[in-house]
Amino acid sequence: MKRKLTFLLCLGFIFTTSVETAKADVEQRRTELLKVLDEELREVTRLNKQIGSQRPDLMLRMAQVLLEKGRLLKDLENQKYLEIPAAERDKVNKEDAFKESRRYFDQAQKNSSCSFEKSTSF
Amino acid sequence: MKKSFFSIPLLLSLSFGMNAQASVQGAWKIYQSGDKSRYPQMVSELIQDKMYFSSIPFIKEYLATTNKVNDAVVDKVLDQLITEVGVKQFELLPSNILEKSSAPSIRYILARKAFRQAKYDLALKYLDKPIEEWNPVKPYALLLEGSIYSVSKKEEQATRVFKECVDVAEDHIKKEKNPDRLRQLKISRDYCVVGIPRSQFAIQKFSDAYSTYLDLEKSSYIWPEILFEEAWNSFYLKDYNRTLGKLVTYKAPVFNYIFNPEIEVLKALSYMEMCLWDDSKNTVEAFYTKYEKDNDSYKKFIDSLGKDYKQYYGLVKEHTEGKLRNNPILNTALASVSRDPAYLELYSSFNSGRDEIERMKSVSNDRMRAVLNENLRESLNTQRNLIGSYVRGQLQLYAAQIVKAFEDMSYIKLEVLSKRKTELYEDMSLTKGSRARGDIAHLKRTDKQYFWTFNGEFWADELGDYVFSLKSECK
Repeated sequence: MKRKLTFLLCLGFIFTTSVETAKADVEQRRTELLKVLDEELREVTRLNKQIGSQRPDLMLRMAQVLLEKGRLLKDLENQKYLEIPAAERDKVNKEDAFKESRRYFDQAQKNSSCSFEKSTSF
Repeated sequence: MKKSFFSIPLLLSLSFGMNAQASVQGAWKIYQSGDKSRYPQMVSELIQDKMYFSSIPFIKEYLATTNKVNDAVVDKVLDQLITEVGVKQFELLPSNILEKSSAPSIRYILARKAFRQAKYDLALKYLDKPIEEWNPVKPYALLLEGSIYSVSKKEEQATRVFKECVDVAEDHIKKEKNPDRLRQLKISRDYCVVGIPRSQFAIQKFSDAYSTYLDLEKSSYIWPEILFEEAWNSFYLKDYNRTLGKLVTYKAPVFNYIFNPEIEVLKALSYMEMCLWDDSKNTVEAFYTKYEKDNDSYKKFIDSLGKDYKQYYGLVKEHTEGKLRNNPILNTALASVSRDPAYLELYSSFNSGRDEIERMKSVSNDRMRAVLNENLRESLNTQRNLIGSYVRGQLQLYAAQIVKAFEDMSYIKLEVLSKRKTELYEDMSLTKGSRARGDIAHLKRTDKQYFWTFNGEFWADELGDYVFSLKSECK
């Protein structure tokens, strides 16, 4: 019985540690990804300016990047939202909690519809 | 004895002066008669007197007014004149006027014009009639013919013609005494040498091209620009370390006049192919830092000059005299133009034209001198404008190259970022191991290549032979 308890305790410890490690890894990846996406956004904007015209393929790429960033931010916002105790969660304004990602989704939508409007043959 | 020693050159110069006067007098008689059909004869007289630039308007007028030239003597006059003043003065004439003559030089000019318009069959038609090997235009005509075959991807014919071109150019080089023409002949021969690897590259025979590019001697005037082509060839051979090694040669102070933003693009691309994302990104960033600030003012400056060719001519002239501008891009661009073979050809013709001003003073017939002076002024103005126009074209081309390089760099950076994203999404370790950068183990070399370490100094005999030893990080 004692051995069984020790084994369960060790298993629990290993599980908690690996969950923590995985969580840290996800966080690190997300932070890194957000950095890359910001850089990508800057580069697409620069390229668009460089070419001097809003090319539909670049507009679409920008929309993709915005969407990707919105999704990552939503994951983060969701995680924060779920971390709030259930009793308090009801009081939180959902619009506010997911404000940042919503902004990126809207911008992505605007960009993609703009690229289709501007270039009907695209 | 002493007296007779001095009298020989005196007599010679007197007799030359008398001959010269006789030639100018003969020309004057023809001019006075007003018979334009005899203008070639008049030009022939003037050529004897080395009045090349002042003859140009006469021969142009003759070509414009005559129906058809069917005279070998006229062809000879045209060949002689074009050899002295260069082809550009005559390239300005419309094709229908040039087509009246079948002089080899004129056919060469027509072929050049057709080649530039990508009318390759027409260009070959102009060169179809054989040109004698001794003709001064022969090596250039062969270079053009080889280039036509090369762009048409007819490698066999191109190689045959380029080889013939090298032989013919060598023969001409042996006989040539004029230093300017000698330089042009050597440049033309060297372009024929690299014509062979270029045509092999065009049909993707990269290994063959790699070997034949080595036939060009490092002492060649055109070697620095060809090194870049070699770097591309190595890139297509997937030998990215060699590509980077060839490109690093351009950092040698002796090449600081080279203007080619694509060097940085190829560097970033090579790093990218080796999955060295940070190096690729750093190259892109370094490019932005180097060009972004000065490019706008460079573009504004050349646009502000409009089509004022005189100013463009003055720009390069002042640069060669040591005047530096505030814009580093402009300085490198001007340094590059001033060493450009085509610019040098135009400029040396212009200088020979200016020598005629002195010779003109010996013409005793005032009225003839006035006519010739007017002609000379007209021809030299045209030549100066041709130089200015060439400089303008080059500076505009460089501006376009920068814009294109910016675009390419952006695409490279986006590609690098996209690859980095894939790595982050896929289950790849985020912790970067220590980067052991260069290692001789990653070096690819043949038995004919030797290994030496680089100690930070560029030695002339090593230029172009550097190789990186980076390990690809592609997973």
